[in-house]
This record gives sequence, C-alpha cells and structure tokens, in this order.
Amino acid sequence: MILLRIALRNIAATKVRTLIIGLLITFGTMLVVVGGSLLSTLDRSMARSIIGSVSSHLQLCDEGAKDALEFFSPPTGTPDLGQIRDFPKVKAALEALPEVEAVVPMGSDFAMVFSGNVMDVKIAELSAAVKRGDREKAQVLADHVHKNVVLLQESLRGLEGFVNLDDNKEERQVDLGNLATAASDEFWADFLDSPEEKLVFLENKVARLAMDAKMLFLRYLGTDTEAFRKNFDLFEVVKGEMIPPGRRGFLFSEFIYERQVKNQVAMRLDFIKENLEAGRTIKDDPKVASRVQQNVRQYKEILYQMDRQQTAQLVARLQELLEVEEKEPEKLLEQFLEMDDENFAVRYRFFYDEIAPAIVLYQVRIGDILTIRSYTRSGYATAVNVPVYGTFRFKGMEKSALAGVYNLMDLMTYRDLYGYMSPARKAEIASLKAETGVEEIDRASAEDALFGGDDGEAGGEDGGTRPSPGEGGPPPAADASSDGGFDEFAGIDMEEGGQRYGEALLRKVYPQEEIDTGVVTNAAVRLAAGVDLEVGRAAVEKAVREGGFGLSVIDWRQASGLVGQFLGVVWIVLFSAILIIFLVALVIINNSMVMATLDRTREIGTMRAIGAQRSYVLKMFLIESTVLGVGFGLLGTLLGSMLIVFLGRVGIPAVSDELYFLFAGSHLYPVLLPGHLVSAFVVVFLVSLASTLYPARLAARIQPVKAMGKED
Amino acid sequence: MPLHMLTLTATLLLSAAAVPALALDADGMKKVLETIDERQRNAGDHKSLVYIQTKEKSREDVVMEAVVYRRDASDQFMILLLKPKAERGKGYLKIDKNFWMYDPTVGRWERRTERERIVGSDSRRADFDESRLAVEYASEYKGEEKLGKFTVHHIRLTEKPGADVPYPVTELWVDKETNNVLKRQDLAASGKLMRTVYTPKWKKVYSESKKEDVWYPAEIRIYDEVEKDNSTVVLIQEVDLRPLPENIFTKAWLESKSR
Repeated sequence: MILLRIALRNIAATKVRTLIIGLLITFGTMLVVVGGSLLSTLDRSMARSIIGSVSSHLQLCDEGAKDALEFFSPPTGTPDLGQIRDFPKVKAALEALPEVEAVVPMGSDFAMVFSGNVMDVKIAELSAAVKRGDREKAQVLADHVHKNVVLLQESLRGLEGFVNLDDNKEERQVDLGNLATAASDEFWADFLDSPEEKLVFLENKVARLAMDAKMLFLRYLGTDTEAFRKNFDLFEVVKGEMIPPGRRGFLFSEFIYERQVKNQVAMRLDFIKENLEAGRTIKDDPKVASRVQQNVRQYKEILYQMDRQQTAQLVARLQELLEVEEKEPEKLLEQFLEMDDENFAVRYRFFYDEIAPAIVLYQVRIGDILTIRSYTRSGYATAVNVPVYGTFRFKGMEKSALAGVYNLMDLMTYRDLYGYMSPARKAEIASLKAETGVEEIDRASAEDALFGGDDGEAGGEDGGTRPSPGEGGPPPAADASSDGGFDEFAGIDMEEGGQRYGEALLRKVYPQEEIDTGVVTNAAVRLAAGVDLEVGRAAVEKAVREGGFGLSVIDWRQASGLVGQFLGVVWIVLFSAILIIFLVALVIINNSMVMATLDRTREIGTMRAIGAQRSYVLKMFLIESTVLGVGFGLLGTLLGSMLIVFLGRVGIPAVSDELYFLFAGSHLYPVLLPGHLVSAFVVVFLVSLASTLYPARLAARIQPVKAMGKED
Repeated sequence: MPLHMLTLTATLLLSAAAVPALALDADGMKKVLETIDERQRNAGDHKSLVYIQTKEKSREDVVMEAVVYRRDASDQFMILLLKPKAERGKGYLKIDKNFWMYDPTVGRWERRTERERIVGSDSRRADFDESRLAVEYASEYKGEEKLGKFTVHHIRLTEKPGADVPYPVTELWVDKETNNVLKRQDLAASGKLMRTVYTPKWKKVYSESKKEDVWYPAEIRIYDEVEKDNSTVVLIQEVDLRPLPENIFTKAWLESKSR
C-alpha cells in the first residue's frame, strides 16, 4: 500500500511527464482497440463479399498455370490459368470430404460485344423486311434509314472543309457524293420496287461512313449455373428469370445492365436523379452538370432511333411540354435535355413516359439472343449465340462496381468462346489433317528443308519452284476442263453446319456429366458450415495431393487479387503505426524514469539506509509504471470501445464503389471484439514493464553511503 | 596527287568494292514485279480450294478447308468455309472497301478489316488475293542473294499512299530464274518483323480466258515472328478458272449456302 502511495505521489509530482506518457499510452491503446476492431470487421465483411459472390472459400487452379487467379484485379488480357485436367474426378474426390460442401466449376474471360452502327442495324432490319415481303414494315424502315442518311449528311457537312486537306480527298469526295445520292428523295421514291441493288449500295457505300458502332465490354464467368445458384448465397436474380438447369444462357450483372447496356441518355438521367436525391444539385455539382451537358450534345442517340412518325409525335409533345413553336426535332430535343434543378423531375418523367417506349432502352433486352464475339485462345474470332434470361446481383452489394463486374453464363457457351473442342470435333480435325498430310517443318530448318536440298521442293511430282515443262500449257482441243475444275460442295452437306448447328445448341439440355466434362480453368470449393478455413484448406490440399491432380489451392483472399491484398496492406500499416507509437512510449517512459532515478538518488539512498531492500526499490519503480500503464491503458481502451460502439450504431458510410464492396454494403458496422481489448491491455502492460526495467535496476543499485553523501 | 585526294580515291574504290553488284536497275525491278503479278493474273474468274492449318503452342491446331472465289476484274472476293462442320457456312465477302464476315450460326454480318486473321490463322485476306505488287508498292533493290540453292533477287517494298495492304513494308526474295516469289517478310510501320512467308511450291494451270498459264503458290508456310510458336500452312489444293455464276459475290449468295 505504501508502495502504491509512493507511486501515486511520484506520478502527481511530475505532471508534464505524466501527461505526455499518458497521451501516448491512451492513443496507442485506442489504436489497438479501434484499428483492430475495424480491420477485423472489414475482414469479415470482405469475406462475406468475396466468399458469397464469386470466390467461395477456396479456389482450385492448375499448379503449372502461367498467371495467377485474381477475380477482382483489373483485366490486362486473358490470364493463362491452364486447366483442371480431370474435373469430374476432382469434384468427386473433394465432395467426398466431410469438410467440403460443394465444388463449382468455373472459367472467366471477357469479350467485346459490338452492336454495329445504327445505320448497319437498320439497313439489316430493312433488308430482312424486304426478304420477308413485309412491305409495310419495310416502308417504315426505309423512311427511318432515309432520315438517318439525311442526319448523317448534315453532321458530315460540317467536315466538308477538311476534305481538301485529306490525303485521300478524291475518295472522300466520292463518299460525300454517295451520301448525297442516298439522301435524295429520288433514291427512295421507288425504293421498294427494286430494293436489292439499293440495299447493297447503302450497306457498302453509305453505312460505313456512320462510325457510331456501340461496343460493350463484358467480363463473364462461365459456370455450372445451377451449382452456382445453390452455393453462392448472395446471388439473386433481379430481372427476368434464372437460366434453366442444363440450358445455355446468359445473365447480365444488374450493375452492368443499368450502367452500360442501357441507352446512354437514360443512364445519365438516372445518374442525375440519384445525385439529386442524395442532396446534390445540377447548379452546384460539376459532375452532375457535366452529365446534363453530355446529354444535350448527344441528342442524336435518341433521334437516330426514331422513325418519321415517332419523330413527328415527339415534336408535338415537346412543343406542348416546352411551350414553344420550334419545329426542328434536333433543337427541341436539345432544349428538352438542357435540364436544371427545377424542371428535372418533370422532364425525367416525360423521358420515361414519352421517349423511352419509342427507343431501344437497353441495347440487349431480356429474352434476346445475345451474340458474343470473342477470340478463342487460339486467336480465332468466334461468335456464340446465347439467350439472355435476365439480370442478377449479389445481395447488399447492388451499388458496387466490383461486385457487379462479372456477368454469368453457362459453361458450354464459355467453352465455345474458349475454343474448346469436343472429342467428336477433335476426331474430325484429326481426320482432316490425316487426309491432307501436311509435313511439319520447324522454323529454324525451314529454309534448308524447303530450298536447300539437292532438289529441295523443286521439281517434285506435285509441283515445285520450277515445275517440269510438261505442266500447264494449252490443253488438247478436246480437253474441256483445261481451266482446272472442281466441285467444292461434292460430298459436303452444307446444312449440317451453320444456322441449324447453332439453333440445335440452344435447344439442347445438357446432362450433368457433359457440363462437368471439358474445359474448367478453376473451381470454387465451398466448405461445409462451421468448418474453419485453414482446417478445410488442409483437408482439400491433402486430397489434391493424394489424388495427384496437380492443382494449387488458394483461399478467397488470394483469389480476390488486389482487393484481398489491400486488407493485408492495411494490417501492416496498422501494426507499424502501433509499433512506432509504443516504441516511442517505451523510450520516453524509460528516459523519464532514468531522470526520476537521478532526481531521487538521495531519497532512495535514505530509504536503503533505513532498511529498504533492493527488491523494495525495484518494486517501487515497477508499480509506478504499472499504475501509469494500467490507468491510461484503461482510459484508451474505454475511449476506443466507446468509439467502436458509436460507429457500430451509426455505421461508417461507403463513400466509393470500392468501399461499397469491401463493406459488403452501404455501411460498415464495426464490432468490439474481446480479443482486441485483451491484446491492448497486454501490450500496454508489457511496454510499461519493459520501459521501467532499466531505470528500476539503476535505482536498486544505488549505494546508501554514496547517495547520502551526494550534494543536491 | 595531293594526299587527301589519294585518300578519297582509295576510299571510293574500297566502298565500290564493298557494295555488291546490282543485278537489277529500277526498270528491271519493276519488270520483275510486273512479271510476278502478270503470271498470277487471270483475266476471268478464279476459284480455289484451300486447306489452312495453324499451330500454336499448347493449343489445339486450327484446321479448316475453305473455298476462295475471286473476280479480279471487278475486285470481288469471297471465302466460304467448308470444314469442319462447326465452321461450315462461315464466310468473308469483300465489296469495295467493306470486308464483311458472316457467321451462319448467328445469322449476322459484321464489318472486319484487312488485318483480320482469316479463320484465326496467320493468313490475311491479301494472301488469297490477286498479286498487285507493282501497283500497291514502291520498290527498292537490296541485292542478289542465295536462298538455299536458289539465287534470288532481294527486293524491299513499301506501300504506296492509299493502298489497302495488311503490312506497310514487305521484303521479297524472288527466284532469279523463274521469277517465283520464294520468301516474303512482312514488317510493321515501326520496322518490326511480323511474319515470314515461304512459298516453295508453285503450280500453273492453263486459263482459257487469258490464253496463257496462270501460276499459283500451291503451298504457303507462314511463321509468326511476334508469337514465335505460331505457324500456319496453307495448301491451295485445287484451282478452277472457269466462269463463276454472275451473282455470286453477294451477301444473299453466301447466306443461301448455309440455310
């Protein structure tokens, strides 16, 4: 008790020193409690986002893969992940483990989807209507194309001055002449009477001048869609319906669908509305104002899509709304799209009520057949048709760009885009190769092999660099096939390929065995409920090793790529900050105690002279620093806990798309974990103790005679 | 003679000795290119059956059989794929400056460019087209060289303004005796070597319309110089110079083949 009183007296006697040490200890403890709780909560929410969306607990990849699997890193090309060689076997082996709930096959890539320019699309529709003999529809489309040609001519008119500067000015002048022909009324007067030649003219001489092709950049995840639905609990369909089991199908990410597939003018209006609802204004927020201006500049996005009748109706309705006499649709639309804070709500409604029904609001509609063109891994441009069943999102992460980055498709379509060859197709190709018997020649020895030998390739039976004199030359008069001659379609059933081949694929329901067999680049492993990640990982790794599958097993943090690494970096920063703070505290406490020892030499000497043992002096110092540590440590813990409880109630708002994903929602609600309180306390106690050891030993070694003889 | 004049004379003599003897002057070179073009030119239509095989490291080979249709007089060109079944009916059609690709499985046409890798191989449309070296390129003679046992002219070609060619610079090695192109290297504008093409086998077929032989490379071996593991072999298996149906170079004709 006396020791405690002495400690308190000393603490009270050196107020400045106590304050500095107190602040450091309080801040350090707060940092341990707040930082630790925040990061632990963030780790949990990230786990929820990543495990519940695309990664699941563990991922399996080819151990010889050139690139690493990183779901959320920016795409820098198609990563080479190799392949899981025998997926059905891997799936069976792992699903037999009690730690594993399910194994879901996957593959991801990206594709560019081109819509073609509006002119190409409309001419194709017109061409189809002509072929069908649908005169009424053809007339409407012909008017539409005519109107668009006139609009194109007007927009290119402003560039006429540049034609003379162009290297190919003659060609440009021919282009403008063709455009003038197609814009003239004479061209269209009897269009439907003889449309064929004019359609060819429009397709090849005019449409290519309209350079407004739309492109969608789609990242997709090919998977067993039914297994995906069952094993990723955050997954939910928003628009349309789920892809039926075993069928080919595509689900757009709701985020992509609303932000990329939607008409750009409509999308910007949605953006403005969202921002106005959040309290921002067109007048004061430059981001919002710029969207209004972009819409004004891009009124053609709307006008190109409307035929004459729709345009006339729009003019009338806009005149009414804007209360003006203006008759030019371009000017009316520009005026309409020039929105401000006052008229936005009315015009937004007008857009969706009057304009949206007349235009293509989504470049791809639910129920459409989407044509995905992509380059296979061998670089061959391939196109696959896949029906769009709807859109999906991950619950609670609707606004996250990262969570919405992937679109979903069935594994069979994915494999077609990958360039996977079924055994039947492989056999067909092998027989084609055998039939032709091409000799493989290595690049390094090509010149020697082809031109080097005694006679090289020259003079061979089937031709050579210098064919024998007998070849070629005028044939005998009776030889009718002197120009050569072959029938390219002999023995080939053209109906076996093409359209029928594509349509049959869309009707097919694939059995589970076929879904599991073929290219799988990676697979998600969902652990059984309650299984610890590391325990599950060890079990899966053991099974993979024993099965000789040649796979590497990575957890969701690694699989998430940059996002997962982000948390690791934050942990390192936090630890470093805590370490630095406590090191500083340690040095300061140590120094101040050394000073106190020197200050109190006479006092300690006296105490030692009247019988105090060395251990008594030692305890005296240790208790003093422990009181300091415990007192301010408690204060820091209390303040930190209060802050976490407060943040846990109000939540930390996600102010960016990335945070939305990391928080697994709009807010992060930190939770106070007992572990962090205990560790804060232990750290403070150890630091206090360590910092006092040297001064305490110094004090204990003071000789009473020397101390008492010392002058103040 | 002053010393510096002696040095100059010696330098000039040495330089002259170091430059290989020019076997072709500008006219001679132009004539070689015109001969190459002329020997392959056909007055009428052209149809050929081609086999394309592309190899890439750790990938399945891309193997196709296709038929190429040409009407050079009106600059019309079309490719129709016949094998394998999955590719059957796909095609390319060139109309004026438009290069269209048709995929019957999706029933749509799409614009492509001259740089399109035909059916994913390392060949470009121009490899199957009429030879127009003298028209499309400006030439520069690099010297006489040996290619294996053949003595060849080495000629560097640079695209003329407005020419629509897949590579801006091309180097040719032409058999001195027959004027057959044996080797060709295509370069990007930066000078980077893009691919090396060997045409070791040349065949000829008599053309009724031209009243002369028409030559064609029966085998084309293409080595990708960027992706070193990639190579393509094109075999021109058959050539038919009889007139083609009048309306064949249309989207409708190509579509009708896969219905």
